[in-house]
Amino acid sequence: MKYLFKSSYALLLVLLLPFTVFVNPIEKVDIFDSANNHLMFINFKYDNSGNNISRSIYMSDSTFIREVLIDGNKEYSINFNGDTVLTSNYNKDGSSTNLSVLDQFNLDMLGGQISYSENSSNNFEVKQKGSVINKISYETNSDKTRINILNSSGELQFYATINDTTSILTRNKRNTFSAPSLKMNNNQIKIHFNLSKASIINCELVSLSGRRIAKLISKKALKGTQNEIIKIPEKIPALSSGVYFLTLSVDGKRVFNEKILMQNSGRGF
Amino acid sequence: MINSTVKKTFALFLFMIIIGSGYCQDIKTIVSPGVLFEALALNHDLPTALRPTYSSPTDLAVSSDGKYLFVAEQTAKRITVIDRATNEVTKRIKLPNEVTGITLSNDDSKIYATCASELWPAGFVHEIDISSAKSVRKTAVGHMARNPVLSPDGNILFVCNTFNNDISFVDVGSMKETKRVEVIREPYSAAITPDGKTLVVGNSLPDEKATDSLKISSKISLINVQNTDDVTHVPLFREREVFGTHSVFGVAITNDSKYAFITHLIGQINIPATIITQGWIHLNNLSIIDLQKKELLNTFTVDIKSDNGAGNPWEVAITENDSFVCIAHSGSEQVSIYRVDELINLAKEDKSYHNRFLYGLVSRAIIPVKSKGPRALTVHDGKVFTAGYFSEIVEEIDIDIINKGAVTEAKLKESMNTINIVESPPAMNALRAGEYYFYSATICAENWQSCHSCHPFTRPDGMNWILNEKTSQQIPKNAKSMLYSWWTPPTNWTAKRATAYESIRMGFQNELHVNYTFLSYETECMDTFFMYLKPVPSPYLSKGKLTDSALKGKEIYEDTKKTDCIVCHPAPLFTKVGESAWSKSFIPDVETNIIIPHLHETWRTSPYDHIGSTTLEEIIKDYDTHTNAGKNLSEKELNYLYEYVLSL
Repeated sequence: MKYLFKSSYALLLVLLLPFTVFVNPIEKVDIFDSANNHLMFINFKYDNSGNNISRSIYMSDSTFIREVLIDGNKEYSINFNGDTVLTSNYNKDGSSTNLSVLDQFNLDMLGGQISYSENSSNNFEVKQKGSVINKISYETNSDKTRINILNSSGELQFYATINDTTSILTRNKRNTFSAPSLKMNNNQIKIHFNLSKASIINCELVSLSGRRIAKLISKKALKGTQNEIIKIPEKIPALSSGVYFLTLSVDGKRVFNEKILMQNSGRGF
Repeated sequence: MINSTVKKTFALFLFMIIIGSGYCQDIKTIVSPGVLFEALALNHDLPTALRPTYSSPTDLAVSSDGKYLFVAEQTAKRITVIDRATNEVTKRIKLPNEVTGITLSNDDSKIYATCASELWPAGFVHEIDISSAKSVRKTAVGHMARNPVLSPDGNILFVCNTFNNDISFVDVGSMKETKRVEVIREPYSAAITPDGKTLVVGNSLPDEKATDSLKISSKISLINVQNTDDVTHVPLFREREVFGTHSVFGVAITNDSKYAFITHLIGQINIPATIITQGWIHLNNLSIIDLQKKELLNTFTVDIKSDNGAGNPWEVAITENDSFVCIAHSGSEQVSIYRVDELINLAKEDKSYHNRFLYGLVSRAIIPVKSKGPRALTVHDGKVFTAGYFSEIVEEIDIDIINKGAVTEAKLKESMNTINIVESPPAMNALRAGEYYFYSATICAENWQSCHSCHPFTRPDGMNWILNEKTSQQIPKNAKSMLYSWWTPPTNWTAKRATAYESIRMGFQNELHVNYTFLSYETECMDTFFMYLKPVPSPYLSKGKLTDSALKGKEIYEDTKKTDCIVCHPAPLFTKVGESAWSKSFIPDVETNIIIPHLHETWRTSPYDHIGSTTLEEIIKDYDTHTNAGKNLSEKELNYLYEYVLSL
């Protein structure tokens, strides 16, 4: 009896092993055509809580195409210049998910909404205007996942491969932003980042001991590219030279915390 | 003990099920069907209602034994192999990007294909093993690579990098690019002399300022393959006779290596575009270059006669025995066939034939084809093959029968054979039909020209035109890009039209000389086509991103203390829209106000300003009535700024 339970235990472990060995988030998906030509890859980014906040699409030679910022059911595609060029809407309708993609002029980029639903386990049908246009199936073997994209007749057209798969990760439900970039010169700090929706942003200068020196920005910012320029002499005329933390929060969540060196030359920063 | 084990096992089972189901759930959430579908559909890989998979045949090749026909299906991203004995498709060879040109290896075992697209313009050459139908080697070449040409010894592959303005030399043995040779502007077509000494490249656009109106012309670059420092640029120009030449899309060379035949247009830019007949706005031409003297021998209009044009000549080919030269007229949807010796003899006469119709002067045949927009054409063993970019068929014409006695155009037409590339081609939707009508001269009175004639690929031809109508409009104006014209009203340099909707209809009326009210479907489709025009990523981007210099330029561009660029050219359209899009002309001109152009694709739309009188450096640095950048910025900062603007 004991042996039986031990065997069952071992069997369960073996059976469920494929589902448990993956601890890393999906970082990259490669897409190929049916002739095995590598077309493109997608890189995925997550926040500290494991929320998928964005993905970037590159062609196989690493040419950047666009970055997709995820904000719940909406996604915003940003081009090389930081401008929003596409908005994708994902909406659940019963067991189906509807997808529409609009460009910056609200032109429909797919010629009509598409919808997809899981017909049977790991097998999806993609429909447009009531007709099945593609079938998509997920196959997991060992540590690899392969996703097949078939035409309506079931012929393989493309496939995607994922080598490093995931534990539990969820789509982002909150605001998303690109990694802020910081530039400093003698008297000003420039911060550049993107918001996928209007948000409250707060920027503070904090001492190394954690004391707030000054609130530099506190405002509601609109969706899109943010370029904030902070003139230190105007904000904090009597700031001493030294190392500080510059923090940025979006909707109360700290997204940036970086050490900066402030040097007062005597004639101002 | 057993109870405890059962409990533990059960707990573990539940935990793992949760983890497992979580994993299953999440992989389909992170990499959802929508994520994959969107990535592939927006890259035009998966067909959608907006963009079904159209073939768009753009190049043809025939195996040396004549058994197989190869069709480059540009937007379908594949090469189709057709058995000529049965006219059946035997293979479809998939490629990762749009196929812009093909050529065969000397032993017919391989295809060399160039790939590039407006979404992913980084060019590649693929070496394809025909037996396995796979790309076996590839190498990166230039921006919007096209028109591969193999040297007669099979050792070097030449590729036109259209938007890098240069030619790649690829060593076939190592499949590596060994050299780039600079040419003039937007090289689109090329051919090599059979002796292997000279590569003849057609630069599709002229490079002068548009105000050099009596000199402006496209050039043919003759590259000495053995010594690439030896490059001669032959203008398609003859003093006071031949100028305004552009849209060079076809090059063919006689088998004795003495002459190159070039298809192009002549824009009649020095006369007001008030009528269409007699080629008043555009003549459609074939020029002959004497390759030994390295000069233009003569140029012929290949229009039919004074009241019947043959718009938009594209690919040209010469039969193996130098008997016939064959031209695909993409706009008027015809194939014309001329005797090579007759044209050369006529060309040697001491007079210009650039605007004399050849009707009655030479023997020729001009045959209408079924294909819509025939761009591709090749010849093999007494047969001409042509395919229309907007059709899914190849047409075969038996010109061998011309050698066998008197032949009429009707008999040639009877000899035509149609080969289907796909069984059930998708119907043209409004977007595709709009694109087709843009390139079609069949909607123009007497078939003289298409919208593409003045706006090649919807972008400017680099020349000034004197348009119809009001007195003020008779001052020459530089042709405009149609990109974003739908979204940036008003249109025309002087805001003569309130919207692109109006411009399209007035273009039909004034430039195509047809009553647009009878062509509501055509104009509405063209509206859709204009709405969907998108910029091509700049060759100044590095792997699709701004370079460090361009990023510095962006900072300068956006810094209102340094420059006033964003006052009139704010992102994302880089112009103002509506009434505020007017500005006082900063170029001395009687026009007081002009519109503010957007800056997308600045890299391909020179010369600048409304009369095409400036380079980018001049318009930014020298005209302080235009911008304060020249006064405020150092040379280094100006260079960063140029880099950014050219990256848009």
